[in-house]
Amino acid sequence: MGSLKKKRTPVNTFILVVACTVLIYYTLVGVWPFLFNIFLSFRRTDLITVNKFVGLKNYRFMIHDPMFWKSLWHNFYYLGVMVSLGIITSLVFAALIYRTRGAMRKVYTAMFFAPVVTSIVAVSLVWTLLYFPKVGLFAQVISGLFGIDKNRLTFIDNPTTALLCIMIMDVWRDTGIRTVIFLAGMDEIPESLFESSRIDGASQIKQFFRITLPLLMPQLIFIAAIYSINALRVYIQIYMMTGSPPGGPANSTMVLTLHMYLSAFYGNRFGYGSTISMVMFVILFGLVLLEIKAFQQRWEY
Amino acid sequence: MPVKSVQFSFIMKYVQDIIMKEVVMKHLKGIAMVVLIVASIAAVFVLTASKDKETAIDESMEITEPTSQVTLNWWFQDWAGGVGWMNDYVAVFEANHPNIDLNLIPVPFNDLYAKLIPSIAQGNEPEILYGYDEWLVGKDVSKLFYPLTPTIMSVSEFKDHIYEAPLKNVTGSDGNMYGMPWATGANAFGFVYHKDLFREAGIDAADIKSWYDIRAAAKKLTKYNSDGSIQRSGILFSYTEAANAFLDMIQMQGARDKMFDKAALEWNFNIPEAKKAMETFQWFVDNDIYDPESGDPFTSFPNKLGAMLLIGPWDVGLAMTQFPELEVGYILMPPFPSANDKLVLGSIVSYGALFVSKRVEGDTRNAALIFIRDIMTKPTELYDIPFYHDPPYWVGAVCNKKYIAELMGRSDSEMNEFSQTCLTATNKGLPAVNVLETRISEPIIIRQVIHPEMENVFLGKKSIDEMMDYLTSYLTSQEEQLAE
Repeated sequence: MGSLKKKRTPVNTFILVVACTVLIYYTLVGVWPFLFNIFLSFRRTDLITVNKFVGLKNYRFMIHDPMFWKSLWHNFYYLGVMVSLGIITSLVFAALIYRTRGAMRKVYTAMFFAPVVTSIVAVSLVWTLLYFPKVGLFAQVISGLFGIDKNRLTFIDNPTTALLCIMIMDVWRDTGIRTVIFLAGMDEIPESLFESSRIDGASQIKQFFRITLPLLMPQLIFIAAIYSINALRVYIQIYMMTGSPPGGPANSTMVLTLHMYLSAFYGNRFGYGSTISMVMFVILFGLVLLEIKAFQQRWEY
Repeated sequence: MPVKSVQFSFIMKYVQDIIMKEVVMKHLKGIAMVVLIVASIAAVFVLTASKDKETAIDESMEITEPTSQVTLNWWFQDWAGGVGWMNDYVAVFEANHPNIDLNLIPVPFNDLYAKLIPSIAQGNEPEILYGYDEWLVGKDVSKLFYPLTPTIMSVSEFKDHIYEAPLKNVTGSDGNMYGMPWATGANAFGFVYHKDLFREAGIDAADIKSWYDIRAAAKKLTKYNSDGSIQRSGILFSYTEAANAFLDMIQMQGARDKMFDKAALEWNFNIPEAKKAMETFQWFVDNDIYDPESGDPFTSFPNKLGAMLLIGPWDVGLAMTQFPELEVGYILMPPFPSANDKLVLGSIVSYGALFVSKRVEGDTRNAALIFIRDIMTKPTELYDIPFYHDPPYWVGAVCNKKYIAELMGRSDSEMNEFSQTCLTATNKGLPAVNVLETRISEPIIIRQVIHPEMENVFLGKKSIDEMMDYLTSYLTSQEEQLAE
């Protein structure tokens, strides 16, 4: 006759220790700072001499802060261009490399991947010099090739083109990783599909749009999701490329992370900086939820 | 029939399932307890971290030479002239005090400001800190730094050594001094220029006495392409200086109180003086003398994309020491039309100051206070260095009365043009100084607000009136929020 006492499953000590370690780490570097950030967002504080509960004043101020809305708009602009331009260029390169066989395929992949493993600070500094007006390499080359007056090629010193210039650098930098992801997806597509379509008389372009592209949907969603999140967190390249003051010229490259940093550390308004980061959290959380939903979808053909 | 089924997060899901089933669900209470304990420990740690490291300050303790070898870490701004100057002084100081090593750590200006308060809050600041008095407006410095009085000397003796104006923002709520102002900081001061370009254009820098002379010289120095676009600007405006000079020009016209009413916390740029100041800059754009799209001026100027560059005092040294291959001279900023004569050098609005960490104790405390005392009481050892270095490290005004008294006592043969400029800058500039008592930090007001707006006008994106409206409303709303 069995015992009436509920039988306990033996604890897997290893899993318990590993899980607790991760949880402790996550609590210390994730949960606690997050809670502290929420706490700060309701205060006016410089961390030492001023520390006062102000309720929702920081949030109200943010709603009326033109710089906040400008920064938010720049982030979404960045997101739109980065994701669309990034996906198109990487798809094109992946499709071209996919058709290459042998050692050259590895060479091309390595070439495109090189910027990904290069420090973003170094990349930003080099591109800043390339973009330098009048005497920079791009100005000289474009002027030489197309006969445009190099004095008019001002790139990141022009508020109209500054953010676009940074995005082009960013698209270039990450093309390698996106290309590799698309290549991996293309490798999984059965060759028989292409053979069948060839027999049916499909052109290469038709094959790309009717076979390759639909079967790359999981990779497309993955890249779109990841780069949407990255676009909202963009900081280093803007800080490095726009110099002093960061976010210039004329605040044309001001984004939320930069506005948050400047408000907190330059303006000594840590409460307001925390408020901006809370809004960023809400937007990013929404994007992550969308990403999770997209991943849960099963793609069948 | 499905030809492909993709489970992208298969592995993650498997691991997640194991953790959820095997650990989380079975030991929910235990894990929740661990998380709660860790969060509580973290909370206590964060809230008490800085307090634990604070030391009870005994102002009555005497200062004695350290008995063992002491190293003082010293954050200092990384401007080239200043670092060269301070490194020379470190050698002098260490020779006088063999038991004290000074570890000069150059920190970029932006980081210096961004790290100052957080490092003190966290309790990991160095023993000696450097910053500008304008960063401290509205803050009680007695909560930030170690008191220099009465330990080093009494308050009245301190005032005998340092000019009164720079002491305003380093005086604590208890009346003690918590910082030692030593030189003027960021503000428009003059123009560096390429001597060879001046020679080519037949211009003598000594003849430039007014803004009208500056205009004429800049026009003559501007070089155009065949299509009429600017190849080389006659003048370049760097961001801090242009924005600072804009504020200075308004004040030079006597409109300081009209521009900022500190009692009402209101900014007002919709005044003729502000418009006139902005028009002074805009004139160079409208007359095709300054190309606002010629890139970072500190790269454009040495590349001769500009003949003159509006700079602050430290940049004179920077320009001269960073580009030794260039033949560079400088011109003091002329008085703004209709300005008060006393303000011929620009209203210098910030002072570089040295501070001691409030956490120093024992020999480290003695060493740090000896360092400050030496600079105050033996000023020649420090201040003579930049003016007699070739090329000079720096040109500007100093805060130490004793040094100025000594300069005044020197014969002409003992002075060079840089020490003479220092004397003029200090005697004429310092009495005119009156720091704006805004609570908005300088990096925000200058870099994030005024200069971007100036750029908008330069680039034709906004009119001067729109700029003035924006500055008025934006700065007032910031001021109100900070004062709440």
